[in-house]
Amino acid sequence: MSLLPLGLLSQGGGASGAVGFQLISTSLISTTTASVTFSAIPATFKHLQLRIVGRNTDGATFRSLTLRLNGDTGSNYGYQSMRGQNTTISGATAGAYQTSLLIGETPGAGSAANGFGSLFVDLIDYANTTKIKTTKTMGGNAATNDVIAFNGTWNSTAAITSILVSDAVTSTSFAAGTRISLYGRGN
Amino acid sequence: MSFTALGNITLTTAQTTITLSSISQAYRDLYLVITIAGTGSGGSPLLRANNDAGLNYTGTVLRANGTTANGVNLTSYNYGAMLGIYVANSGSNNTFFDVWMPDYATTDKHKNMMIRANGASSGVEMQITKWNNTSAVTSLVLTFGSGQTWGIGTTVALYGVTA
Repeated sequence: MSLLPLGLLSQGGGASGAVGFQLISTSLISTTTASVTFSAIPATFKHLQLRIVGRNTDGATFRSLTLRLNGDTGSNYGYQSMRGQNTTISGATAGAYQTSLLIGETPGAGSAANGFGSLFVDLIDYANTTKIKTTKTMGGNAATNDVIAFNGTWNSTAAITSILVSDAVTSTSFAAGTRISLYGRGN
Repeated sequence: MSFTALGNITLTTAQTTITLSSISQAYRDLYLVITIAGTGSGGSPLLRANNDAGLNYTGTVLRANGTTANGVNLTSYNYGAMLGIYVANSGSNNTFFDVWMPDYATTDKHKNMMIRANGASSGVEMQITKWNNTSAVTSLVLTFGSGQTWGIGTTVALYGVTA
């Protein structure tokens, strides 16, 4: 057995160090909340990453999770998704542009207690003003045996300065215990 | 910066089990990176929280191997989070796994483990497994379900992520 007591860092070097992520803001939800907004996002990073540990108060087994960027409620968002649920794989697409960007889902009150979905969502070249913005999600919801990969598009070249996280599809709310963090990533 | 290296290890002798203990509770997430060397065929590595070897892990895998892609429900393999199926079964060296474990120190939710597994000659997998326990994670145990060993050159790195 190889035992590494991390409080002691007694093997293998273990020198402290840092990787190129910087926390911008975290929202820890203690009461039912419909949405979380990150505003005045600095343009000093190369990419952004959202890390979400979420649960929904709705009685369904799961509910959609969406973004709106810079307050845009127009039909400017598209996605492609790949999903594994139990032994089934499926793909989906938005088809026409939608009014919010689907990035995944969180378990609802109809799923097993204490189960939360986990996702991380990369927003690539968010501060660039010549590119259509793209996102990618890896995540899942073990409460309903889903593992998902999403690729998203916001049909705008504007730099992203604010992000609204919600369920814009069915207008449900985040449950207590949900945590949404926004990180900046370096070059 | 938000990622802090809590420790790393490179095996110089083969081991049946690698234990990461006394994990600080000062972070929001854990991020574990493993490169695996020298495993034989037939075994998938398991990750256990707090050395819990009970039937307390459930999950789903999305995987591809060559031209085949499918999903796997892991409710039958739940003595630990199974880090890889195609990848670890290949017997090829130097496969890669990473595991993101959000909110590991909380006591109000079951713990998710988001796992990616990659083996250039064996397959690619994406998985989410849930440890059905609300306890804070204070140790992680890496082992095999079929008595295999972690080979010389296997590396394990653990990071704490603030949020």
